[in-house]
Amino acid sequence: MARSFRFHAALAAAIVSVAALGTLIAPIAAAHHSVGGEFDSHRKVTLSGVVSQVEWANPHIYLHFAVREPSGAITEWRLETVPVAMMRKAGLSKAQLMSNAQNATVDINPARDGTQHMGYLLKITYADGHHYQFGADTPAPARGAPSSAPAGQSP
Amino acid sequence: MNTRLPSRALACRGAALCAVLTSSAILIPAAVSVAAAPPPQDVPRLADGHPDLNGTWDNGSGIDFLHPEHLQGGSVCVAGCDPPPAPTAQRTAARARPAPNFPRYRPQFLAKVQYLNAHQLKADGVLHCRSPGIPRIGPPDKIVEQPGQVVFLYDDVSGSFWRIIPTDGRAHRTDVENSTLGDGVGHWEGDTLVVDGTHFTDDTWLTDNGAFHTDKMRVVERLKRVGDTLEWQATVDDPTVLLAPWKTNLRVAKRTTDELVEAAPCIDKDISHVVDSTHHDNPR
Repeated sequence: MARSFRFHAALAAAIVSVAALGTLIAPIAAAHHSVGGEFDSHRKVTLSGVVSQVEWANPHIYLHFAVREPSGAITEWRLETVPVAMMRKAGLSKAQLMSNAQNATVDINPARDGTQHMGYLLKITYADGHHYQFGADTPAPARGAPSSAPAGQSP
Repeated sequence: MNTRLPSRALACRGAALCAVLTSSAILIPAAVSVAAAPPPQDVPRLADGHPDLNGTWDNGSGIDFLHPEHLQGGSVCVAGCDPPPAPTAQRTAARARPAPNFPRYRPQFLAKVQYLNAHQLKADGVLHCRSPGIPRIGPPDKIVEQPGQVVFLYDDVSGSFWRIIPTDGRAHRTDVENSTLGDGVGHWEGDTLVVDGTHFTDDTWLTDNGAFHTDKMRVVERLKRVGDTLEWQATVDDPTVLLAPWKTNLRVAKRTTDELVEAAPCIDKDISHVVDSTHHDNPR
């Protein structure tokens, strides 16, 4: 409605430019965050391990997640999650994310660019049963389709 | 308030003076309408009579849509909760995003806006942890109001920012280089603090999606306390590139006891991994 009003209120001399701007705004209104541009929301990977470090930083907090391979070697995954403001609004702290380094299981979307051991954290479930969820557990709509995910998960 | 007699309203802050003015209103016919006007908003005031804007103000940080759910056993669903909560009128209103509000550019600059929008991942400094600038940074998160000046403090996703804004009537400084937050001077218009900003660099955006500006822009911010809320709105005048002055959406911040903390470091590790031109929003 606001945009419609602006269109009608525009001066005649500005019609061409405003019309062009309208075409610019259309995709903007549908634009959302770029988690889907970085991570494959159609693939879910589940890992077991331990949170070894929390990078309390913007624009995203990262969990480092140590996974023991069948060979016995430890592989550290870097898992992206929400910004600090969102984590604080949820009342979650660095210590809670560490949860005393107890064993945990994570569901993640892997990186789309092929980077190994990197993903977006959907959910972490700790050995004592409590969990924190940061993303939908179901695959996102096909790319190009409207997304129902809340905008701004990723600034 | 619509009667607009700011000098009278300002004077009517001392009990004795108020009594005199009230008497005058009775004796002077022209002032009778003033006596019938609604009283000014009852807000705390400082000794100089201006509204007390001191405090920490929660402006929602652009994540009003986020409603974390605390579950049994200490579990928390921050986002992507399943099943989604049933929509209610109240919840829908709370989650509604503001209507699109984009500056109107002169025709010869639309191509530049579209180019910047298409190359947002590289061109938007905010995505690389740089200052959002004014007015994109939004209302201040904390205000320290003193005689002759106000200090604005910001806790932004890009870091901590501050501005010292004189309110003693002095002019803009001429001895400073342009900056992302510019040079601000303030004055009071009734109960509204008006901050006039100049001396900006041209490397920030007014809002998302390629809304560039020049270093000649002027930004006027208006801040008004209404009860325990703070209303903020900015108007950008940049006639070189804009067809008309552009107003931001009105932002309303709530007074909070949750004190600011040092902003977390902003370190971009994402952009190089984005494989398509998917947009990043930068809600504030």
